[in-house]
Amino acid sequence: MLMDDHYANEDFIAKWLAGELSEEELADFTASDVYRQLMAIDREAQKLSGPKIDVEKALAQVSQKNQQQQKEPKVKRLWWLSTAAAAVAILIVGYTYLFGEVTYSTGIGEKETVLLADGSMIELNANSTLSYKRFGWEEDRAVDFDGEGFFDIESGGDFIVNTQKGKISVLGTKFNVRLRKDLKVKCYEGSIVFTPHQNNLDQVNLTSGMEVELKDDRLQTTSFSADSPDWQMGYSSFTQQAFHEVLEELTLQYPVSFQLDSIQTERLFTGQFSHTNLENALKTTMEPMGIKYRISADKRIVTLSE
Amino acid sequence: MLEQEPSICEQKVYNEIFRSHYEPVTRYVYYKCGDLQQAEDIVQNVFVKLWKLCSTVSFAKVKAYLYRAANNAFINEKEHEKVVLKHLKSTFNPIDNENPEYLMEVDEFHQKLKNAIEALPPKEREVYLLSRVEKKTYAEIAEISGIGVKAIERRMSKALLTLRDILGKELKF
Repeated sequence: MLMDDHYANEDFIAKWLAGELSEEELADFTASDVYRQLMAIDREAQKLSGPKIDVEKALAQVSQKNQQQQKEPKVKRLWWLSTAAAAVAILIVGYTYLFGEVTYSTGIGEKETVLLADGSMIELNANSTLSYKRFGWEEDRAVDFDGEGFFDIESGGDFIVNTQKGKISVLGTKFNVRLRKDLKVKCYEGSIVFTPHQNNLDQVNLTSGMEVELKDDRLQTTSFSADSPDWQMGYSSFTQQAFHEVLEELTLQYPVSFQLDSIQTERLFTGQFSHTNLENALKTTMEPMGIKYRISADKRIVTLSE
Repeated sequence: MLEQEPSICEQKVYNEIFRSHYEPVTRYVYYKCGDLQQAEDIVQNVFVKLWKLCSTVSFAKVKAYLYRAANNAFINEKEHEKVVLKHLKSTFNPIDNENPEYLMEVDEFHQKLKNAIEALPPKEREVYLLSRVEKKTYAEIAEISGIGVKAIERRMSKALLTLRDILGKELKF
């Protein structure tokens, strides 16, 4: 028996499989033992068969699984619906984006700084709201405002602050607007014009160091000396002001309400309180007035007594 | 004139594809894993997925898609199994857990051939079985496996020589 081992070579067999042998090579190879062995094995291999597979049974199983997922077409139809809904939503959002207003507001005890597109900066004290048109704002610089805020306006065209009680127009300046029960506008830099909504009142020009107060339907202009509002430093200060104003300001900076009993709130107060600690704030406001106070367990209600 | 390609989303077309490809694809996976139940599960899941994606798979490419997806699913399961086995090994030895029965008669040589095929490296075994049992051409196998015809021929030649090494001495001329 000849062992033609050079036929039992991977490259040679691969060539044979690829049909790349020459006629001579092929003739020699088919006469070899290697070839006969391979053929014998292959004859046996011909008897092999793959596993029996029940295709119809499998199809039934898969069809059942598919039917469980028949939600699919529904989902597809909903896709269109949701696409339409999304388009509408985008339109609405786009509309409000282009023509709607941007609103910033602060809650009790909160402060926020708003930077406008022209570089103007507005600092909001507690419980204040600022809104302006999003689109075309720079051609028409105007904001609606409520509460207290410090405005640092970049020079440019007119800048108008609209409030419930009147409008403030400026060119480029720093001023503080305080609209709580009464309206108080303080000018820290440059000049501003305050135009009350009430027809019987004249408009007022303010330059730096001047303030105007609209109280009991009357305008009162005074002067002050400070570089910035106290609230920006984290406290509220009062000079000869009615005590109810102090209480009002306390409820803006702290989430508390007061039970007054027989307290006289028309008495005048001079002093200040911090925005960071309720206990300290109460101590510095109540003690000089000789008022006792008690804070409820949940720190929501402060009961005052003489 | 453009001929409209049949949509796989049509139940009739889908069933037709199933009937013509389910068996060969399942066998293909079976030759990889040696577990018919596992092979059928894998391929059935591939078909379920095909139904879901029916609008995105083109009819002309469905065959290639099925083999590719089945192969990927098999590899994923195997990855998972590897982890499981690693975990199990420390507790008990799985004895001969891969014992595919490429079943026929119980003739001695035949049995030896089957054993020898089982002992082939997986890639060679797969090519050998696709060629000899499924009667696929090397070009077809290359298409299914996603590798070149030359590589298939090489695998086949290795498989043939390994079988001859094992079985050659049994053969008397």
